Amino acid sequence: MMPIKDADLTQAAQAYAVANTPLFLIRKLNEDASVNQMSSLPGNELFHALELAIGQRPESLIDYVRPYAYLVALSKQPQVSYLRDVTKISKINDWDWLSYIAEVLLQTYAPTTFIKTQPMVKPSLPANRSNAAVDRQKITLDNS
Amino acid sequence: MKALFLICAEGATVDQRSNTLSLFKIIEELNISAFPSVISAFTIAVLITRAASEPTDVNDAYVRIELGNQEIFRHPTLLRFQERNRLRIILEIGGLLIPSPGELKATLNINGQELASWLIPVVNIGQPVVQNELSLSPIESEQQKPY
Repeated sequence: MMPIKDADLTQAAQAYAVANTPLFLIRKLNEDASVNQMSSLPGNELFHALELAIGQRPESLIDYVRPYAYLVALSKQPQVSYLRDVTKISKINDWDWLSYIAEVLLQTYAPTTFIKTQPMVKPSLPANRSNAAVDRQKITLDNS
Repeated sequence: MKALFLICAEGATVDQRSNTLSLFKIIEELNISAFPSVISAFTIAVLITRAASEPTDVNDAYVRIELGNQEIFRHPTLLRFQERNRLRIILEIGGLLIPSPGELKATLNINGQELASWLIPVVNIGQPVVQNELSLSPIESEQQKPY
């Protein structure tokens, strides 16, 4: 699994640069392949990275989009608890739209339970491993 | 607690971009030529809603499949709403054994009560008869006619 710092946020940064509404940014980040890839990372790792990104002063366009990308990736996690905790981060209001986006993602979160069962049918054992009683008869062919 | 739908299909997926559920090849009827038979791809998708006053976690839920009066599958299902009002369940069964024709019924049960169901008629269409000798093609048989 790729480290979170290696995620390619170039496309996300481009979307952020032209975003005129927060809902547009959510849609673009939802479609971003890197964001979808990040969503498979552990929730606590994503949350920690988001906390760090919010606390740091951005130096590039990618640094600007980082908290938004991490937030959208968190919304794709199987559990909603991390997303709920984001709204409690004190510096969240220092970032434009971030609090609103977190609220939208929280409101639209749909929990899904995936269950996969093992095959019900087991392959049958070969006949030569049977313990059943066998009645053997010797048959002689008459050539006359 | 209410189930908005329970549908059986060959496959189901949740789109990562739009977070929407899609079902593929909904199973309305099973036409089988020989019994017992195995359905290799069988998925049950359920959407449940709960009132705000109802519990967010339900432990005693299970999915059940019966054929006639015979139970052929049962799986316990933990319902975790995570404080939301809706929950999707996608249950993929890797190989469902169908012992005989009849009416297949998939249900979601909570506290022993049936919340939703999906009925599938299982029809025995019979095995094809082995044809040992092929008849002549229509053109040839036309030429061989005595008149």
